[in-house]
Amino acid sequence: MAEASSSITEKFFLTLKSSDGDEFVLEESIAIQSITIKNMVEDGCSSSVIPLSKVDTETLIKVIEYMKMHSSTSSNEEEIENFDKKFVSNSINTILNILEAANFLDINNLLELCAEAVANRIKNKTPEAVRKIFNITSDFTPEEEAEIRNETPWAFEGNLDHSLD
Amino acid sequence: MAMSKAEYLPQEIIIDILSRLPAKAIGQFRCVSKQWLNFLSDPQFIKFHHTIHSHKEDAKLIFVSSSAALHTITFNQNPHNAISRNLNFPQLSHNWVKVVGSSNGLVLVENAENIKYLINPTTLKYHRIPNFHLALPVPGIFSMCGLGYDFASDDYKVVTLSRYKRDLDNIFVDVYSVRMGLWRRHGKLPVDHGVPIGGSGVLVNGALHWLARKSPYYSSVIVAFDLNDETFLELPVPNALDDNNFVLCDLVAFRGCLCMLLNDTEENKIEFWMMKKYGVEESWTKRRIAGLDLVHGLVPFCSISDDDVVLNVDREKLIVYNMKEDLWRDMKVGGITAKFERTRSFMESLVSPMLGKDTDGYGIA
Repeated sequence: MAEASSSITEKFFLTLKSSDGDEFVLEESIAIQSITIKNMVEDGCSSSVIPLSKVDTETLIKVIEYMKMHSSTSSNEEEIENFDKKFVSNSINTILNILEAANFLDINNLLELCAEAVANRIKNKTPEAVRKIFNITSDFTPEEEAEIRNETPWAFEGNLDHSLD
Repeated sequence: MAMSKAEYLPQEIIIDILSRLPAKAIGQFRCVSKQWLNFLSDPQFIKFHHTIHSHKEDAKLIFVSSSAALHTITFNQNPHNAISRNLNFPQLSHNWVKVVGSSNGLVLVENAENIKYLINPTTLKYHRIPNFHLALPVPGIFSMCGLGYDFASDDYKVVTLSRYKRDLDNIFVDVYSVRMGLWRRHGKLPVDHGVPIGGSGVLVNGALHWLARKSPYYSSVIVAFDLNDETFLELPVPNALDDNNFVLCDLVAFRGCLCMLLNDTEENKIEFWMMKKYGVEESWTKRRIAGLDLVHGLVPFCSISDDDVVLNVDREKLIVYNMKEDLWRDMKVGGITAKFERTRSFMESLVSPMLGKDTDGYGIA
């Protein structure tokens, strides 16, 4: 009897609302992996819906999937590892969105995972491709860019690396 | 799909991502934008980058070719066909004889005139190590040399041991500080040890190591020179080795551990001992590598995956050995099986060999 009552009393639920207006109900123990949400709960702001104005629905679904898998009650190490591997195979744009959400929600593990994934995905790309991914317009004149490339010729040699024959 | 918000990412996240990139990508991405150029050239960033990557394992090889040129080897996705690059230092003559050792991406090399250079094979920056006025004359001396990094003083040190050919009692220890640009004589080796001839110190755990035999019974011992407090230590060899013929032993660093290799070329057996916990005699762990047709034995260089290790066989051939399945294959470099003598491993880094000068070692590489 005592067991039943304790498991009932210890389950709290929170409602998270995405920037698109969609609401998601989540166990508090899972949601507080986000330090931002944890702080809100501790400050007593959790009785109503928690609005996450910086996180769209698509991204929030991914973040909740991640938090569920990584909550202490579920899943063994191998499952988590496999999940993470699959998780970072999302498109690079999706990962960048999750990265921004993880930063806002302050979920350190998720931040680490995504930052490492982005680094892995861009490390062999050309500067041109990286500009597109990060939506950066070059503010160098062609002469300036050529000068920088000349200063670090070693960095541009790799792909041209010639074989011994 | 939602639009990427990448352009709104906070600066610290962009820097977090960039700090995880290999040195080569950092060099390339300096031309992405003015903001990125600032991020990626900032000495603080380069220092941070170095801290993050310094624990990683060496993943490249460097060797002196038969024409006395320096070459590096980079492993690609396909571990059986690596890429070689010729290192060209326009101001230096290419009469290299030896790669002494490496630390954090800096490599100590020596040319035919016995002049040592500290080079960064990634950025092609170099620093000439001056000759020490107290150094013994080259003909007739036996010596050992090593390169290491001292965390406490953030300094690279070159350590040499030398003695006159017939003088077994006086072994001189000289230390060069790259940051100060100075040689100092540390005095004599305090214990009565034989010193390997022309060997290189093995860098593990902030100390340089070499094998020695100790009087009066010529028992085997590993001697270490701590690069921080500049003291000598002795480490135990595996218990089982004490009575073995020590001449056939090699000392190497592998996966951050000190290792000993016993090559029994007659029986084609290799005992590979790894000191899993530094300084703990009981932590020496043995594994056997069999089935290789050996003349001189082998030396492991670096891991290219959890199970695949690159080994140098008979001082000339590179093989990829899968530890899990106990299988090995020849490694091709640029499509051909080439001869590689005098090979060592290093890591890619932006660290400047001109430490303590205007760049502080972390300036624009």
